[in-house]
Amino acid sequence: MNKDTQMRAAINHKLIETGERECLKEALRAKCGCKDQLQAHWEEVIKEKGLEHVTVDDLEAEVTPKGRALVPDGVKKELLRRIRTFLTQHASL
Amino acid sequence: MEEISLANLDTNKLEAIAQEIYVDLIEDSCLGFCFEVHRAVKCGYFYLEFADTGSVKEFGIQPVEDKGACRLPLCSLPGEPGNGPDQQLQRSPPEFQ
Repeated sequence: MNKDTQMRAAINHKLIETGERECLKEALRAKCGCKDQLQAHWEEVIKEKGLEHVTVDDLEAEVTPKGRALVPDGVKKELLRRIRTFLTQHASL
Repeated sequence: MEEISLANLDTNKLEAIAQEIYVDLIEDSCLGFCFEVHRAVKCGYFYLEFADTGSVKEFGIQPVEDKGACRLPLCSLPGEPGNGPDQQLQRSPPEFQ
């Protein structure tokens, strides 16, 4: 495992250990409102594939790019600020 | 495991790491939603919880016709003559009478 990969793994481990990852996810879900806006896209995928045949992969392929684009700028900035603060506070892992 | 220090990293590198974490969070959240929707679809409550449209026909589900009588064999509700449930099945077994 090279140093970069090691570092990323250590950061992720710290995020989970401190509970910060869960907090960030909750903040994203609460402030984003993406779920409502993605409803139309889910319905489209399900109509296209059929209720019986739709898979998680089908939903993910369609919805994830749109979900990313739907995050408001303010929410994105707030999350990045919190992540940077976390990285500064946990400079040694 | 040797201690890893982020203090030595330059701003660009730290920013790149922050962006990666952010993207990972978005993808994780989206995947979570996808699992919820998929489960709703497979368990049959998608159109109750998630769908905007009121019609279940759009999802390939046939709406139940309301004919005013229940055709279930064990149902004791009155139905049309000749189409009612089997009367014998309606009685409780002797041990429960």
